[in-house]
Amino acid sequence: MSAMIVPPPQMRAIAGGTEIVFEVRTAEGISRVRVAHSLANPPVIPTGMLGDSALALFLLPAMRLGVGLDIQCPVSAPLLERVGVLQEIFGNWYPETFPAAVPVTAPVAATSIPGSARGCFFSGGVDSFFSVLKHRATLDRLIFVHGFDLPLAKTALRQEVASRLRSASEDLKFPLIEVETDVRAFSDRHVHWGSHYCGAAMAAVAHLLSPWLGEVIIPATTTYAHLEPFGTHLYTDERWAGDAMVLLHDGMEARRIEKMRIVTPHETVRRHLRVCWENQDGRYNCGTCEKCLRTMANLRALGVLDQYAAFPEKLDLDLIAALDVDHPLIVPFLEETREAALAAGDEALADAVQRCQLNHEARNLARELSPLREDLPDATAWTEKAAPRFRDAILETCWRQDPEWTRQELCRHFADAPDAAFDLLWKHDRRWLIRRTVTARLWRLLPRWLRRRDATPSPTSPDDPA
Amino acid sequence: MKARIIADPPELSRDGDGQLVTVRLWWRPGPGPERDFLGATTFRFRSPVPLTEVGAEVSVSMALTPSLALGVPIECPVPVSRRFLESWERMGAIMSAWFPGMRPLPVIAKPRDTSVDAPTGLIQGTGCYFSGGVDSWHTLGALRSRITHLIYMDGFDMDLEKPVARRLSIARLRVAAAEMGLPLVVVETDARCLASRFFEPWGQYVGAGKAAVGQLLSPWLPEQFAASSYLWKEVLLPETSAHFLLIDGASTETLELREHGMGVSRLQKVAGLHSLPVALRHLRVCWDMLPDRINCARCEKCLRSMLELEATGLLQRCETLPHEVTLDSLHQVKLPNHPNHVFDFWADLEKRFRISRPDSSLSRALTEKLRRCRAGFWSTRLWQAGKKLAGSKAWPGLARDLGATVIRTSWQNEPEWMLRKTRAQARRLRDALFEQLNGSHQGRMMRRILRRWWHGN
Repeated sequence: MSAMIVPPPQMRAIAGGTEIVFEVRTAEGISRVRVAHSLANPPVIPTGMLGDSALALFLLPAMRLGVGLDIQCPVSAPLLERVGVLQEIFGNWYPETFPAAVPVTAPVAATSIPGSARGCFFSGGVDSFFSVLKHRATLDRLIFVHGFDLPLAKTALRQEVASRLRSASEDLKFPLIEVETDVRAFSDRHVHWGSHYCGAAMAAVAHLLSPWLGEVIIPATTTYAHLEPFGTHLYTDERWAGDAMVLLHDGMEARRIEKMRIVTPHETVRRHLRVCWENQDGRYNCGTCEKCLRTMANLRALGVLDQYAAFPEKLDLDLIAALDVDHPLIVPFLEETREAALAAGDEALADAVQRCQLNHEARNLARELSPLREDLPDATAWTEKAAPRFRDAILETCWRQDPEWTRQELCRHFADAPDAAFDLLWKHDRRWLIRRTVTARLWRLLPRWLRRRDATPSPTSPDDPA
Repeated sequence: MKARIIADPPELSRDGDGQLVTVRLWWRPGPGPERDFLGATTFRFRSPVPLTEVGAEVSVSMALTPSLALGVPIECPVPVSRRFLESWERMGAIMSAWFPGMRPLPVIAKPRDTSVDAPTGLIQGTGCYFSGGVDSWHTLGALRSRITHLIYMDGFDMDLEKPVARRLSIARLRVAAAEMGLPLVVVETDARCLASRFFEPWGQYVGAGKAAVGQLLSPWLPEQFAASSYLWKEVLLPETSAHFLLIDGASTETLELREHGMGVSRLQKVAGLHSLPVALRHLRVCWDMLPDRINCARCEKCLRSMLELEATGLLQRCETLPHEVTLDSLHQVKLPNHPNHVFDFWADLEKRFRISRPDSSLSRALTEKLRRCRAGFWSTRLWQAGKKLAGSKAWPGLARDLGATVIRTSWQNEPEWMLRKTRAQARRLRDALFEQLNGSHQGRMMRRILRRWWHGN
């Protein structure tokens, strides 16, 4: 079988909600993806709802497998039109994972008009709180998905998170839509959740909510200054929209520290902020993972760490300095934290963050240079062997960057080769050499003459011993 | 009331048998009617039926960069497209994230839901921005069935003060457009003067200028395509305001402005010219504006295009560039001094040559040229990192270590090279060299000089 076939999904009412089961047939066999949510009795179902969701769910896995995608239920026309661009973007970003565009076939859905209600994905994190508070006046519902960053198997933790987020959304006066899905059991076999898939998965869930919502906000992680490839991205998220669902990638105008400055004064945020996805020891925020530590550093820089009961009260600065931060999207956050710490006069924190940045830079450099290092185990040996290969470029760079040091370093070695040095000056600047030598000689002899003159007895002096 | 930039609605007038649109921007320092002239931009073009109205979005687009750079909001006395105003917030945020010193500011104007009416008798179509280069030809080739007009912005990449070169280019583009069976709409603009007035680089204006031209022609060409020079992965590091996010953001209820071709590499675009013989007859890639030919065949862009055509087997068919790339011209061409998308073009090219004709002298020269270039990037990177890491335990003084290692090992193993290098810098080195010599051989310098003098060499 050279295509991924998606028959029309099964949708049925379940206790307190709706369940949709997608079946997907590939050469490997049949897989199922289940999505259930807490809304029932859809008012009107847009014709493209299931097809749009299926397209978002299965396009990237099909590209990864290099097989065509055959969706056997209607897909809305604008989304079908954008399939080419979406494939182009992912193919361009990750040519090894998605080497070529695949054919996509599906019947075209009748046009639908998006509803006016607005929803926002809400995980309890900084980005979610920022977008929710920013759009508070126009939002209608929040959406939390079990099975995305929280594995379905962690039942107890899921219950705690869900209960906290329910409480947070009650505080904010929004109903919370809870969605549960096992999509990662399927997607993790083919694509990377963070780098490739999370945006598509959110879009797929949003489409399934289109009978109740016309627009869904996807809170952004980064700013416009950092557009590195990621699964949820300004270029892609909004392109997953169908004609009954508008998607908005929101919040890129603010840096993470600015978002925190805006959201941290809110009592709801203080009680329920959740940034951890490692959840070591089953804790809401483990306080030891990279993301928890970064958030705690920001909270400390803003002077509110002690007000956040969901995090450990004390921040170990050595842990901050030793953080292994290598993702290009995370690196800019460090600079924000350092600036905020300096502005708050917390030099210890700023210093710890700087040490972390320097370590990152060193690792980065080592990685960049590793193709040159090859099998040389010793850095000195490597330097000795590698440097001469690029000596022209290195020397030119030295001249450009620090001419004084380079001048001294070059001439230091002439101490052992005085003839060569003299030859150079004699051939290239003879007049200058003579003038300089004579002047230097005069300056050297002058004090001696002066001393001699002073020491010469005056013929008129009666005390002259001579 | 705080200061504002007032973007007056564009003024429309006749200019011979064409039309002249003038956009005037004013500076209002505070409350009251007093205002100072800030700058004006004119657009001259011909339309088949005279336009009767031009949307205020043209003026607002031209005010974008001055507003962000001066930190003053724009006020427009007439209504502006609602969609345009909505996307304005994002455009301002994008520009301020990319260009230091800018900050996002609102446009103070009433939203307008109705569109600017197209004049009676005007048949609407789809435009394609067209400069005669590889990207333009690719977009034109890919969207040939949709495109009804080609648009050339005279005064964007070409200096208005070189009329002979401009006339030559436009004449060539007209012939090319005629051979494609499409009318060429030439919009002459002095938009670059506005940029120079604010001492801002043209790169920060070009996107807004493109958006303004798009708005201007929207009653006539409600769908327009602009060819992109970048790939999706390259548009991650923006260098110019002609970024697709800003271009697409200039769309309104009556204008769909889209960047095209970000999924196709330059080499693929060049290879695609195979099926466009007219493109090979009129290809124009050069910005040097010579009065007697459209491509200088010497600059980096010309040479790169020649190599790309050679790699795809099309150089012999191209009528606007020499049919041979000499090793000498390759040696002389200056490549970027930091890794950017232009260097990526060269890297693609080198890879293509290395695979397809590994034994050719051109391929070997290209490989060597790029190796040297990469070594330069590498050592600069090392130096910068070494400086940055000066306080780090991991890599103390790495860059200087390397520099010192080069000098030490070269003295030991290849003193001739070292001497050659220092000889080239003899005048710059003489003080340090003299100190070194005079310090260790006090008094003997004079004797050396006298001895040399005596022996007469």
